[in-house]
Amino acid sequence: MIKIISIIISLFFMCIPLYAGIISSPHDMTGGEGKAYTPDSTMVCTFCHIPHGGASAIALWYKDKGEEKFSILAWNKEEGLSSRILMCLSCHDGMIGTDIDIVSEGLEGYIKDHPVNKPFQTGKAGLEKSVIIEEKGVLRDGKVECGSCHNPHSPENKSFLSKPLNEVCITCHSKITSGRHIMGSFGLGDDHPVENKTNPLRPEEKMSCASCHNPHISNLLPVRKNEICNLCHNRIDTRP
Amino acid sequence: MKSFHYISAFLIVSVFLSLSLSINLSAQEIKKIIWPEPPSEPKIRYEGSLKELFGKKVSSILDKPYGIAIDDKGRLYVTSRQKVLSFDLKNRKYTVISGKEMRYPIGIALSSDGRLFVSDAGSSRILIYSKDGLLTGFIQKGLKRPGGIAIDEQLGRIYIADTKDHMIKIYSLHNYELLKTIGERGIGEKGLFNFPTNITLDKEGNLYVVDTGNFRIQIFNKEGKYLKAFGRIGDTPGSFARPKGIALDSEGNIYVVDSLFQNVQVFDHNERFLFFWGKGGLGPGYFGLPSGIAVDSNDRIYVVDQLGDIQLFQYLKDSKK
Repeated sequence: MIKIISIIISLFFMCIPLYAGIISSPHDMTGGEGKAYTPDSTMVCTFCHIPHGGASAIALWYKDKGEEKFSILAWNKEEGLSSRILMCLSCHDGMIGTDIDIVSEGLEGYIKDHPVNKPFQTGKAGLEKSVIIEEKGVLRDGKVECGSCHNPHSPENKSFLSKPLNEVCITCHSKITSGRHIMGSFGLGDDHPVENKTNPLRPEEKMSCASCHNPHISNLLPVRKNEICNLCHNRIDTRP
Repeated sequence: MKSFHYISAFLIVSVFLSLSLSINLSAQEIKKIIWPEPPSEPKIRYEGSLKELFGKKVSSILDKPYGIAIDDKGRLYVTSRQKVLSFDLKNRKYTVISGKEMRYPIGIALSSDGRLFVSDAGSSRILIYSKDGLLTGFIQKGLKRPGGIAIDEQLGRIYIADTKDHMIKIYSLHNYELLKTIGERGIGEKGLFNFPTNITLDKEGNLYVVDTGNFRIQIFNKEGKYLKAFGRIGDTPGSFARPKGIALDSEGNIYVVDSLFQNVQVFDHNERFLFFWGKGGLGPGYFGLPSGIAVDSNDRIYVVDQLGDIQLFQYLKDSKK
């Protein structure tokens, strides 16, 4: 009994910093009031961490009593999208929260191109060796998931990223900083700026990996590969 | 009305599918899938899915579908990423309505004269199409992120759940002017909303609102007056975790889809819990991210799964009634 009480108390104190981060952030579904509606709770946590309980209604169409409890996202992980991903997608459905591009292949589904829920492929796009990535703790069950880049409890970084934007990318794509990428400038002169300089297309933002890449669309580039440069360097006319 | 001058870039692709069906279950086996299980009297029967009818490839066409409406001929209209799909189940054909004007269509409703109303959460407006897919107009004024739509033909009204504005907005079905609004943001207070997502109307014109962020269903009369509410947060039957689609059958039973329970709960017209079916997984009666629901005039139930399928069920009416 004492053990249970001590677990509950430690969980409570562990949750306080997470809870504090959510209040008034876009993930505060109470609109900054800090209270999710339930007769027994005044926490914002319950929107994702659905509390147990509630008086179980008797199913009038059942001869026997029927089930007394529902499982939340009961899912066979090996078959498809994990319950962690589905939890995010349950609000990020295009209506409650911003839409996330999913490829609809049912349970075999994955999120477009950035290989969420796909087996991890090493060696591509300046990726670090999978062993090293595994050690960095970004993979969930050996796969990339929402939580590999995002931390829903941490609003201090843009888009609830777990770290500043460029750091998130470089965690896995670490070889990009030295390899044959525009950031490495092919060994000719200076690197392309990816921080500190203002993004000419969005003057309110600094340059970052996301200035050229969108991790949530297929092929990750907003336009064709040869056109991306022209978005900013538009003085160069490439037309024949 | 200047918005009507927009030239729509629309595209209708009629696709005739080869009938290379990937039916794993025979028709007889399918008919045996019922809920609740014996000895209880069966109430819901599985009738198949779009994957079974059109083949597995339908998943790549059904790109994150959400809302569904059925016309009087039994044709399905489904919102999907940047397009609306119209399925003819009998002839196993489908057409696509799409265009640059459409971003994230969510809610969908049909008027009896054949107008198709599509709420586009991405461009914050309602797109109005003719039945053959021609864009004929918009409702734009005062909308933030419109979701569920319902049409009251008798009163000549379009009801729209504005999810981000936490409000129900009522527009004229004739001139598309904003007539009135119901509610505002509120956490738990009667008649107020926190992310209202889907709506439906009963035969008397009462409005049922899925108040997703307050974990309940609220019911209003046609004057917009709050009548009652049911449901609460929790993980027990009759509670809600992520309630989304709502529909009523011919007897006034209320069907509520829950994305986190991955099931459909059924309540009677007095909001008493009747039963539920569905759980997370693959196959008949299993769901991934269920969202929209519709019930047609023959009490056939259509449940949309955002992971790319639509399942069909039949409500089995009590023969004694």
